Amino acid sequence: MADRPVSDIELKAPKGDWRDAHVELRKGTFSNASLPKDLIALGLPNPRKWQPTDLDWQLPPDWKGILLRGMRERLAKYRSFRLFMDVCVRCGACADKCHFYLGSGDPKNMPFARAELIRSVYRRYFTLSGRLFRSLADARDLTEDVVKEWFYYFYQCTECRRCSVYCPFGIDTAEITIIVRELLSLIGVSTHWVTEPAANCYRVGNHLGIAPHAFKDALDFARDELRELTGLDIEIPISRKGAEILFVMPSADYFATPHYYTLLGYMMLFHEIGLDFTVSAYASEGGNFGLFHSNDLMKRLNAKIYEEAKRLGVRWILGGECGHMWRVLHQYMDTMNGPADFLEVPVSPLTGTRFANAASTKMVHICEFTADLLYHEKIKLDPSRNDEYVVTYHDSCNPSRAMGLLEEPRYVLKRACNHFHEMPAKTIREYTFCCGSGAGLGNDENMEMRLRGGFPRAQAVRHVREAHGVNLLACICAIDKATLPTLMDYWVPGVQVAGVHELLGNALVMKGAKERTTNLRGEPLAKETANA
Amino acid sequence: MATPATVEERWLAAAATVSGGLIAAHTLTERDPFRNPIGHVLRRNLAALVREFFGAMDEAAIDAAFGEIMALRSIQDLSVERAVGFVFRLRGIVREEAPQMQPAEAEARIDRLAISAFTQYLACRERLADLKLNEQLRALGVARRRTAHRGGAPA
Amino acid sequence: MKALIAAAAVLFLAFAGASAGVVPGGTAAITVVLPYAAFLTLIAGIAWRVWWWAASPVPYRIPTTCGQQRSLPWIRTAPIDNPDTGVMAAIRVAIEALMFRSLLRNSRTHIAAGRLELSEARLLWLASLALHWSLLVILLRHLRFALQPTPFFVPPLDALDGFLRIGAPSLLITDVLVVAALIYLLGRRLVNPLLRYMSFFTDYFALLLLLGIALSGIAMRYVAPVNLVAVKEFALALTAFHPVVPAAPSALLLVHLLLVSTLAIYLPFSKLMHFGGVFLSPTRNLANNSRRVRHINPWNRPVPTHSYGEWEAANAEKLKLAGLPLDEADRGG
Repeated sequence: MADRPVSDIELKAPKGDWRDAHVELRKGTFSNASLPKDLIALGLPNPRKWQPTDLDWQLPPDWKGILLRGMRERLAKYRSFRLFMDVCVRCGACADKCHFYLGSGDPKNMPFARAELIRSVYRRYFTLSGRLFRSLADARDLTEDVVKEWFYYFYQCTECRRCSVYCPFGIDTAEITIIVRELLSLIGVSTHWVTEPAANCYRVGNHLGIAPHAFKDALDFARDELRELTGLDIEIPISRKGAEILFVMPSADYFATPHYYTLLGYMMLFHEIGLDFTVSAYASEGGNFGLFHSNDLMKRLNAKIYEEAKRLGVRWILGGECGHMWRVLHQYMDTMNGPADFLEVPVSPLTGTRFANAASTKMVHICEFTADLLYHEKIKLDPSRNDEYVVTYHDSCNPSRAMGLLEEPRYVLKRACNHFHEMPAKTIREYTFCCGSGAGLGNDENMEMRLRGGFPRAQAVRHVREAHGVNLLACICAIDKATLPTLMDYWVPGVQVAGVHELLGNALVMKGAKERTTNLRGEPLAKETANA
Repeated sequence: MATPATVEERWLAAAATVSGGLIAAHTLTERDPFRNPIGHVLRRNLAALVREFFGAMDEAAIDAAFGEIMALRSIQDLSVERAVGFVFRLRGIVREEAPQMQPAEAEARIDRLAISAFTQYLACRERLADLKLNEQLRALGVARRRTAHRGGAPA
Repeated sequence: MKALIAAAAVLFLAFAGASAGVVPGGTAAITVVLPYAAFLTLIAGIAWRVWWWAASPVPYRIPTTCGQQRSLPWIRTAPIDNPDTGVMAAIRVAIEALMFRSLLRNSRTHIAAGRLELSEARLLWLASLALHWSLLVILLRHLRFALQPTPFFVPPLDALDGFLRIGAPSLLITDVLVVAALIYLLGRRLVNPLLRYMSFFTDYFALLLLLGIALSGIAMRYVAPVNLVAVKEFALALTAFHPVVPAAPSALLLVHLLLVSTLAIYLPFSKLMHFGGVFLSPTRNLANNSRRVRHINPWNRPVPTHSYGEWEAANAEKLKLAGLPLDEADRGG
């Protein structure tokens, strides 16, 4: 440490006044605007061709009235919104909890500052003090610059809820972000990476718009690969009426890697235990980008799952590995599209365990299901097949902070792998850091912002890589699987990303299967390499 | 003699304030690596660089340290000048804090640091393009795997 | 700047209080009219605000879960941080309200080599706790003036508060704590650049107002003692609705009264209503049982969906091509 005070170090406040709404949109730090075709497909307002860098955003003539009426409506409909506009004391406990603040240093990324961007407008138009005292009450007029600022900063929040864990009043920025994005969508301001997947999901069934025959083709390919890998014929039934269980997964599981290896893992497991299940071509998407747009759109996309379960006549629903999908399933589905009185309380056909925690929604998380199988020793694992991996586990935001699914995936991992190490305590479980790409931010054009947001998570991975030689980051979220590999390549090269059920699939000992020489990725097993 | 430590502290301050005064305060004062990852990375790698500056000037160590610093600075909306410019702030700091060092020698060493910083900055910018490409390839991973597997176009 | 405006506002109020004695009718205004008006505003204001929040619907069950859920019986749960029942959620809220549980999470992972750092983060929790608990004790102590006979719990509280027995009248711990906590909370807003960036007039005003109240009260005890018997007579008359304008009240008492009244009027319309958040926040006061018990949204409304029938009709050819089953075929269509 320096002997004398260091003259260059100044405790500077950030430059300027936070009320200045002007933002400079630089390439790499924002998402592209929605295309008119997707807004039309979804019947959303103000479809037009525009980009955030345009000077004129072509807002509807009465945009201000629409926003203010929208705020009034939502203040009447959500206690959360009403309360969160009023109760913040700006104690600053949340300031250094946001991964975007930590990775960017931009003070408007401090959660309480982000919320003030709309609170200041709320005070101006909806409180007496704001109307009377304006700037003394830190109230701001709603201007086009404010709209642009909202767009910039509320699409710089991944709705991860980490700030809400630390807030003494439980103020949840995710809730504020959801509502501001809803407001912006009323005047046609939304992003391509959200509305295109949503439109595809709505019309075709999944985010990429994979038509039913291509969906079947992808699953047939998985069947081929599984045959080569195990020597077994593992069928994946599609839209089969009368199956006991409907299995819903995020669509990335059948079109993207490394998600796909998780799909192989599920299917091996289901085959081994002889599960009577089906997947659906209509509800071929568990993910729900509606959550990143508006509650109405979330509900519209989610409605398919119960409708399909009813049509197929299944008894209950099993859900795959996906983060925000599970936020919707756990906290919204039953309220929005229930009651699911045509289904039965889920019971594991193998262990007889009755999933009372899902008694109303009738939907069970695959990790709950598998942990139960392992606990009752219904499947056999050979963890040495994962010996090439030194594993750590990334808690995805939604399963940890909007559900509490913490132990189940760990229970599976610790049985499927021999080498497992946790990241530092304040970076996992309810304190987990976001991948920085959730809530519709995980697109190409926004790459630099994502790398900032993912930096704190990467630092924690780096820590265990240096301490224990970790080379695999396990997770249970489709967005994680799509974007963490990029994050790792940039910040912590040498760390791969895998789903929990990929590792389970590697370790799963299957009756009648041939000797395994490779893992699900087709790479030779560690012991094979050792023998060679 | 506390010279390297003083140089380190002052250089850190220079590096942190360059990024627009935005991250200065929090970056310098908070020691928890998970509450101040930017400051942590800066601190750790600047310390390594100062060690090399007063020591062997090991090229690999210098590149590694700048690699980490530039990974951060290349995605922070900084102009090249700002991202790399802090290296030259070392001149004044060394002149004041380590007068025993020959100016010519100091200049030569700073030049070598600057070249490494610039090279690493460019490398990081280039990596961004690869990241995007690889991510897109993974997004179509199953189709690509199928093509490779069946030795032709997907059915 | 905002801090200066806030300081000026509080000083102005204090000055107004101090000089009220010389203006005709000033004493009566501050000792009788204002306290009643302030009390009324306080009660009505709080009632209105709490009603305004509580009357709004909670469409979704959105607790922030801070621990293991209840799923399989053999997995250990975190029953308070991830409550499964209403009772546990109530306990969660109670711990939040009494102990500021969430602020306590705000700790560091790094401990400076060899010595335990009392970090800023912990200090925030400690100062907030000290401030709120001291204010409560002080409020209860004041019941000595307003109620006859003195409530049974006040003397022991006084004794406990002054157990250090320093000076005469003996130093009250809560007085020290309140002032120290307020100065700390004010100081961090001024020193921490990030907080300074986002601190508003109301943040400074609330702290300075409380500080003014505390200091004027303390001054009446230690610096320029007031006639306690006279104050009690005055306060009792006030609470019995037979107000008597005191003959020659001390200027300090007037300042104290004016500032307290200002606080009472200001409180319902300011961020000082934040206690509502602790009790009403749907991220804290709901049980995480949304898959077990259906939560009802009172305004749940129908939305357009893409039904299976529409989807099948649009994709019939592709489905047939892939050999996937169609409902249409079932119906013999």
